[in-house]
Amino acid sequence: MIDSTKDPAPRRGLWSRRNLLVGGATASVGAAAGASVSLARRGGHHGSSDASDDSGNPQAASGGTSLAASTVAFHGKRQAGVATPAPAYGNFIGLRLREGTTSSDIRRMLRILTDDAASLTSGKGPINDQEPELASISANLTITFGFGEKIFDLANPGAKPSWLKPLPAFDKIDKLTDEYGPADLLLQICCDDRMTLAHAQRMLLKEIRSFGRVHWVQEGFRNAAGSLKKGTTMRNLFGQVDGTINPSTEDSSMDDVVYGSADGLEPWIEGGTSLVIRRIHMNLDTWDEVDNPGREDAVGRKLSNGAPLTGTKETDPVDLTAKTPVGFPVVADYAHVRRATAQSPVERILRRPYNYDLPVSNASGLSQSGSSEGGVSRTGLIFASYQADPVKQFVPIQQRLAELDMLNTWTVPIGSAVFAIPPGCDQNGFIGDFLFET
Amino acid sequence: MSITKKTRILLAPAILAASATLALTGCGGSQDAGSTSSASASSEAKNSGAGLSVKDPWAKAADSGMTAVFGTLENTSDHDVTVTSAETKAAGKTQLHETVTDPKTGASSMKEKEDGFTIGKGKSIELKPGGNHIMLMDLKCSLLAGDSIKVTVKTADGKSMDIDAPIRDYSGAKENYDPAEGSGSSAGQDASQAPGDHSGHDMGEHSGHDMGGMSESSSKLPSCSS
Repeated sequence: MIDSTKDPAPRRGLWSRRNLLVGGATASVGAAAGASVSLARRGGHHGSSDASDDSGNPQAASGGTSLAASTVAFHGKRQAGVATPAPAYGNFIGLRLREGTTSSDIRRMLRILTDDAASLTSGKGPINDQEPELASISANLTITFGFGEKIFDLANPGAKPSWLKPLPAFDKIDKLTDEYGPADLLLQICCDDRMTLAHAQRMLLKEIRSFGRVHWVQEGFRNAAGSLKKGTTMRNLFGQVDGTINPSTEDSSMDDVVYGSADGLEPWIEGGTSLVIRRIHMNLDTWDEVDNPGREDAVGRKLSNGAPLTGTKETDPVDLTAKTPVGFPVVADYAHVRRATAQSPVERILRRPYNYDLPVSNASGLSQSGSSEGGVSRTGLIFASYQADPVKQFVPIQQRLAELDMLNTWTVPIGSAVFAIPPGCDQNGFIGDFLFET
Repeated sequence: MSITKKTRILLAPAILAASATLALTGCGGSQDAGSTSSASASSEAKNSGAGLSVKDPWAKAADSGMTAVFGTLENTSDHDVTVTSAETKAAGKTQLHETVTDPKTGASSMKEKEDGFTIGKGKSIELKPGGNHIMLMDLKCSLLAGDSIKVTVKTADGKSMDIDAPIRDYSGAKENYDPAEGSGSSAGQDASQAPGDHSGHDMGEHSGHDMGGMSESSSKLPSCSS
């Protein structure tokens, strides 16, 4: 929900000193982790002419441009699934390691998960997959791993980023429970085909069973593949365009904001970033009581196309100084977009949220204001925010929003977790291998 | 040592249909502690002489008793190659097993392939759950998922190939699975079986160690990697 309008933040040149220093790496990362959604021809990535070509799903649509055969490269200096365009479905799974887990247990687990993720994302079942046909439709599957504090504490305490801890409490708005709280390991599985996602999730959870347990699963969705024009900002279930002016791989902003290239930021490790997951209940019943002028006033943007109230299109900068003919600010003091506006150049984040809409039963009536219960639906947002340093980048924005944001009238944060997203790996490594280098 | 008693087994069609030749392309294909070579690389490197290579090898995790090793053995030589035996430090005894179908009842059963696996030149043989496999018995240590196990296969002409098989948890590959009788029905029969007859063992007993909670098995052997 955070609208981190970046106007005050000067955009840095593509060839700043820092980018020159890491230029080579940045270029290759851009190719591997930027938006490298490629179309691998079915059969081509099986790469052989033997019996394995008979594997997979003979029912899958074929052809060089089919969604079924679209893959996102797994290997690279950065993990896929962050700068990658968000597929239709995104599941976030928080796992807690069992008591007595050792560093070597974590190492074994990460090797298995890495092997599986590399296979699954390329449209192949892992060696012990009992339903490999379900893996053969890759549909832009990405599998991204995040580490909680315990992974570092057990494997390599010195490598733990200083910001890896629960966010400070936002007492005025938070109604957090442990149900969606901190976890030791995060799996983020995104895909344009929910069948593929379900199978990948099952496969990975089977592998993890001997190492820990599922603490939570947050299932999210966006528009179906092909429904929206390419590059369109998603809408949340309030109907708001949600995620305007995100960092981009088209310029240096993704490197700056998410991977810590900007002045004033420091990557915790080259190719690494962080993920804050806030589970935000949206009270559709009380939102229904508000007509469009009130809804737009609350955010400072138009519902039709996400343009600021001071502009005509989504990408127009917000003019926070504009006044109405009678002298009131066009964008209200309490408007979400004003409160989220960056106060320093580093206060930018990558928002990659997913909607949720849970089944209900025996449900009726209206939900009360400020409540996350009641009514005929349980709806909200899995607010996924990626940034080099959550304390420097995310927290200041969230603190302003917690203090004053008209949107808080209809939203209730019910879960919060922070993860370190480790770098990617090449074919000879595994995710998190740096933890075990002495 | 001969296998006279055949074990009844129901082979699930899904398992038979599943190809075990899917390529292992993951990071760190080799799970051998301290090794950074990939599984395919190491098998190629040790392919000198035996005329064999192995693709996608893996072993089912087990903390005691029995388990099995799978993968596709390819004959890369210009003549027939017969794999006659296999051995590993992790097991007291190792056998080559095949699946046969009783012509009268149609039931499938596992038995030792005493004359070994003969692979024609340029051909391959697939070892997979519900089919041919390398059987490890009398485990000396725990095969932990994420580690790997070294298995040496030997050929009739006195040559050998080392296989570095990643270990994975796996609920299938139960030797005498029969849903009509329920798992564990063979418990306590071991002592009455002739040496070499594995029909009384139930691999399924061990596959369950990591399910239904995190309790440690009391019979759990120390890790093969430690």
